[in-house]
Amino acid sequence: MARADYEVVIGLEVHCQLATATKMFSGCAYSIGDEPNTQIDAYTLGLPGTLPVPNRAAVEHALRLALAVGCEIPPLSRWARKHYFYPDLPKGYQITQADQPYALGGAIEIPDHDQPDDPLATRRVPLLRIHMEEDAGKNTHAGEYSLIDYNRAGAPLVEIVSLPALRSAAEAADYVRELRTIVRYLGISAANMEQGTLRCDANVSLRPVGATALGTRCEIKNLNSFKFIEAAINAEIRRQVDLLDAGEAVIQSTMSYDPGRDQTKVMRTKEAAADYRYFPEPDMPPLSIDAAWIAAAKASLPALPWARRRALVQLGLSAYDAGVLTADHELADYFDAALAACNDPSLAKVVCNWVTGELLKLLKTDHAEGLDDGDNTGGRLAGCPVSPAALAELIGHVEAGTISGRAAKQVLAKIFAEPGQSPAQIIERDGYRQVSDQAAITQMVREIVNAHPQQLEQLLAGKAKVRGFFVGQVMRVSKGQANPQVVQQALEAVLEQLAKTQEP
Amino acid sequence: MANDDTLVGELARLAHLELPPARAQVLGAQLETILGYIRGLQAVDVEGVPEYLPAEQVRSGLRDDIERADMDVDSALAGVPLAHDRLVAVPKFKD
Amino acid sequence: MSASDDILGRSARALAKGIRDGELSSLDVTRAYLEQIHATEPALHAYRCVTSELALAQAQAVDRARASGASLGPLAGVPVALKDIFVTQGVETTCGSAILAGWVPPYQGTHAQRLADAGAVLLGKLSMDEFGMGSANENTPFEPVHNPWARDHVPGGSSGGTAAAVAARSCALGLGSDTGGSIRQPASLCNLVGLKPTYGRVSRHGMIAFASSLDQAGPMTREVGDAALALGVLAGVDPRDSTSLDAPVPDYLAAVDAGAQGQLAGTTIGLHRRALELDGLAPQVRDRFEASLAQLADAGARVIDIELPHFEHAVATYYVLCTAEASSNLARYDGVRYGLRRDRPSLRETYEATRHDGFGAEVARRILLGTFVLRADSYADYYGRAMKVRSLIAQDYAAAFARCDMIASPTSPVPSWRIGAKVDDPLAVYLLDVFTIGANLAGLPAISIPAGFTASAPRLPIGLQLIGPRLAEPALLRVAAAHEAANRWHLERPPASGGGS
Repeated sequence: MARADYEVVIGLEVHCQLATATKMFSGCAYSIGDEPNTQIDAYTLGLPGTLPVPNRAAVEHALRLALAVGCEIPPLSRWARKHYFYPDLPKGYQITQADQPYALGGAIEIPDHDQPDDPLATRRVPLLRIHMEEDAGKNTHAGEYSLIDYNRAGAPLVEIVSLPALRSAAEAADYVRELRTIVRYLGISAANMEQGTLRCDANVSLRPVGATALGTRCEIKNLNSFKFIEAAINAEIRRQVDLLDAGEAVIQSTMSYDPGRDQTKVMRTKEAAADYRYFPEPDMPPLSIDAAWIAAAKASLPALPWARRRALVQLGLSAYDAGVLTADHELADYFDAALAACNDPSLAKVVCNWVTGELLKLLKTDHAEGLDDGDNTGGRLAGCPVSPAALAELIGHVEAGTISGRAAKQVLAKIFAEPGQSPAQIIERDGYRQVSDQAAITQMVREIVNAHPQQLEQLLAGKAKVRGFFVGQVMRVSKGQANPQVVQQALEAVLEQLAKTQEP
Repeated sequence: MANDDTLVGELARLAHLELPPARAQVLGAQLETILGYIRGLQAVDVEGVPEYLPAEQVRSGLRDDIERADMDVDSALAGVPLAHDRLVAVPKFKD
Repeated sequence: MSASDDILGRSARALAKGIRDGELSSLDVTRAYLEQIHATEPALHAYRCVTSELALAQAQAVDRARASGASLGPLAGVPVALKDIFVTQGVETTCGSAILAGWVPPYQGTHAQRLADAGAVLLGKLSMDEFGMGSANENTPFEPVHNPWARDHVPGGSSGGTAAAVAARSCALGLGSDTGGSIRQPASLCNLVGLKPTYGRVSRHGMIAFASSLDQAGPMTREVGDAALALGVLAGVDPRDSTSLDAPVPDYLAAVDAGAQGQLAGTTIGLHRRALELDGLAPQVRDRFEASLAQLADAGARVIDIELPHFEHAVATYYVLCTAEASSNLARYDGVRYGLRRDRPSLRETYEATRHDGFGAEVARRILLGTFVLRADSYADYYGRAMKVRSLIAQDYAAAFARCDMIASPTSPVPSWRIGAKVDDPLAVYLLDVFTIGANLAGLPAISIPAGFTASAPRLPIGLQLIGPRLAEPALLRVAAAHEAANRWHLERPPASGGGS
């Protein structure tokens, strides 16, 4: 069969490290990039006699995520131990949640490309569950030894498990993007794939189009960029199509992706899989999340990406612009604040152009970070020297005709160079105030027309292009302060007069 | 290593315990005796009985997200059997 | 009577009072105990290590504090020793295992900290069955411990070193841990008071885990009042143990003083008569038990019959659950971060050799059994089923306590036995836990108190056990104190303590 004869079925397991000051089960500080084995305490090392005590903030973060994606929260959930021997796993087991996770169901909305007419159309990808767990340490391999850094061991994670409901590699990437945006909106995780605070495993299976039973799945581990998510899933689809076409069975396996060869390869098969011997964690009571906690957490949820996109489109923005603004909740917040400061909802498009155009361009130069869907879209506005109110003020000056659009861009750049200055200060100090005085400009136009008889002749002879020359001259003489619209009008009037005087 | 085909061999593999054949045989027999006794539990009617939950807690058992150091890191690292700089070392393995 | 005999003869409570009143110096008391350790250790092997210098420094600090008029803690100057299952910062802690030989903890456990905060003087660490697994203190890579009442007999286990040391007066009070009877059974075999509190009453932080849902720390003492004194110091919520209870800590000593009046009117004691028909119950133990029960009735207690329908399933349930948890708790001993390490060319071999050489036979047996009951294939039939039977057992107790205040039974079905007599039959030894494990499975407080001696030679101690509802420690202490007031067994000195009775 050809690839088109198979339906692709993908489920994702996404791990997201929660942004807390201390680890999941001990008061051990943790941040990325510290010296090896400095962020450890007795529990982290699995020392005898130590016990896990869950971090309320981690549970709170996890709870907010679950509520944001519509999970059901059982009143009681349980911690469980998952056993395997690995040097980066200090206790010989990982504390996770097994048959009683804290969150069930829910869904992530992804763009629905089957409805190209409606750019805001979404498809709900249902979740199986979300659970909390602790991270393992990190291994490096050098010479005859493997070396272990336990800094990351015990860091708080949530694992978001989707149902096998994604149909393509591109959808899988969309799903992770949406999920990343949500956790960033919630402020519960840096969700940075490069730094490993967002990690993705993909379960991929194929079935003949029309079949209802799922095919045998293979799990691709450790997909650490959006590019690799798509490439690895597509590679795995190719591999499975080839197997099935050759009449061979897909064997349930754990796969790794080799970006160099753009291929997936088998790490281990299910037969060799460990028996994890899960059982309820006896060191901790069941986790109780009561109705009051749920209500308080719900009340603390911000507006989420799709709701904000829809709200922006209501304001008259294009779906594309809404998407750009909401990719980063700080950007969307900035936009909302700037528009509110403008006191004129009809300026939404204008404000959007300033934010997504000039402001982001300046921020990009400043921070050398892109506005693609790469990893570092978060935190771009950190340290932005132009407040939303200042931007609104600047836009107000343009709208009122006090300065030209071009001057406004220069003013904005100057605020970046000299933080602390207000637009009005720079406009006054550097003489950006636009001259709209008709008499003064008409006088200027007359002088210039008189000084360039040759060009005047060409213009009167019908060479319309020369008109631009005169406007440019006026702008030059006025140091850019002349209102171009008024200049145009004045030039028109002067030419008309001249024409009249020349005609007998 | 004991023969992995035997139950006790499989358990030893899971538990990462070296098990010389002679010991495997003794242990295997002892485990069988003990498991025989434990199988008496199959006679208990547990229909509809929930698994035991340790007595209900009078508080949530959660802690605040505040750093609380409990040991001197360097003295803990000094107790590591084999370390390279600050890293804990084991024979090389494949991830 | 020498000054030293006077010191060693006093209860911990009396020592604390003497030091607080300035009648005794902490340094003299500590020296007397260090000398007693020196005198008794060659015959008993109760101590894993003796922290003489630390003890003398702590004693001097207590004396200085008193001289300066500072207020003293409830255990100020009382020489204590801890089962080697308790983590002591800077003092080797082995949990009775070769896999932890030489391990010096870089952090302080809650028990050592609370005792130190109360002014106690740490004499050292006490021998035990490896990881708390045993009933005779013979499961050890170190020297087995001898019973001070009969040197060729076992002291019980797993807190056998603590029992021997307290009985031999080589510490004023000791700390043990109890997963299935490991405080109460050795207390019973050594003529002591052993109190296993309600699960969660005392923190488990700093107590090396054997079976987390069953383990509980508690005092082992010569007198009931000392157990109350120590429990008052140890009990209370601990932010480092999320299973510790934050119920208020009552005045345990007041309960003891009330009980010492000898009046038990209004107290109902449950008797599970069917348990007395057990094949393995020694006639002398049964006789002493019935005599004790009669004494309690004489003091005004009402004795009623109760039923524990799932009593005979407790041992099987216990050995499924404790081995499951142990197999998990002991997974961390892999030679990577601390403790013993056997270097081999591969990681796998390093793990296996380390754990083979580090764990003794009983520990290996329980790890394998626990691994079995948790396997995906056997979980439902073994672990899952045992957790359901555990619910039934807990319900049985709850139903019984609707009718009585506490349940009385022998502690151990037999008195002590000769060292080596039972080492080849693990199941037979497991069955000796029959009276004690119910309290662990249901998370209930229980106390073992002296109930006399065997009539035949050698003269061996016998214990009485009282099990109460959750947090009923005051009631247990009150009845135990009444029983103590009616007897003089607790005042007897064992032959191997260097003095006469």
